[in-house]
Amino acid sequence: MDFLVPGLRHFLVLGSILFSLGMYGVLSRRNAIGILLSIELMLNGVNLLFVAFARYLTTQQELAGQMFAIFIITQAAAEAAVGLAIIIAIYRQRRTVQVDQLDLMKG
Amino acid sequence: MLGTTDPFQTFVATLTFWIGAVASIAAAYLMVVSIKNMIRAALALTTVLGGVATMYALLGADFLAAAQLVVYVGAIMVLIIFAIFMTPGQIDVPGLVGSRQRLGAMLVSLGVGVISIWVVIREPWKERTTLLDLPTAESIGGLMLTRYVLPFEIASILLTVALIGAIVIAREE
Repeated sequence: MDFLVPGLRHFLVLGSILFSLGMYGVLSRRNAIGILLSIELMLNGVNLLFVAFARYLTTQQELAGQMFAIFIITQAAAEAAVGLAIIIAIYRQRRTVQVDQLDLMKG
Repeated sequence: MLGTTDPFQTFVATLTFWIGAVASIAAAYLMVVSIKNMIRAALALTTVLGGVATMYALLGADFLAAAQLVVYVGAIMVLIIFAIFMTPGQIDVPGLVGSRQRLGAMLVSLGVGVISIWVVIREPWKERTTLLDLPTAESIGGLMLTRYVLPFEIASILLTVALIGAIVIAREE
């Protein structure tokens, strides 16, 4: 039963699965807020990889991966605030947040 | 935390990992594939965020686990749910693009997922055996004001800019 005890590979596989599910969400959602949710999912998958590498691989500056994850969380907060503001501004003008109906620039 | 030789602690950590991992993957799968309602998708994402916080705790990142819960589950999810409430009539619309684009999206993400899982399983990682010094909050605080002081300041400017920008963009004329 040793393979059940989580090691580096378990966390890396989990992070990869979360990342690719998030990617599917980004590519297949029509609602802009749903796309933003899926982006958060991808960011979390990457963060998990960073923290797992910080725990298992680096031999010097062991906290570098965690610092990266902290800055990614900060950036995700800024991205969510600006992204949602843009979505709400678009909704005010067009009464929709479906990305396939936002074709104002279509020739 | 993982890595100790105590069999009971290892058992508890293993159990926690599998519960958290299965819950995260199930919630993420439901969120992107089958849930149409945006509020439910946001709640499913909250489950994933909680599961990832559990993983951080298992990996010895105690400060990061707390920050994940405070920032993501506490702040970003509230922001997203407010944004969903402010776009009425858009919560329950058909959530996914047409089947051809969905097939393409599935191929791309499946390709990325399979390739990265194959790589991380095949790669002979040189794992170190030492553990992190717990708690990490003290060392992280020290690093933020010494080695990482420039990114720290840039992050604070970024947050200020994002705050002002979000207010300006979303304000009624």
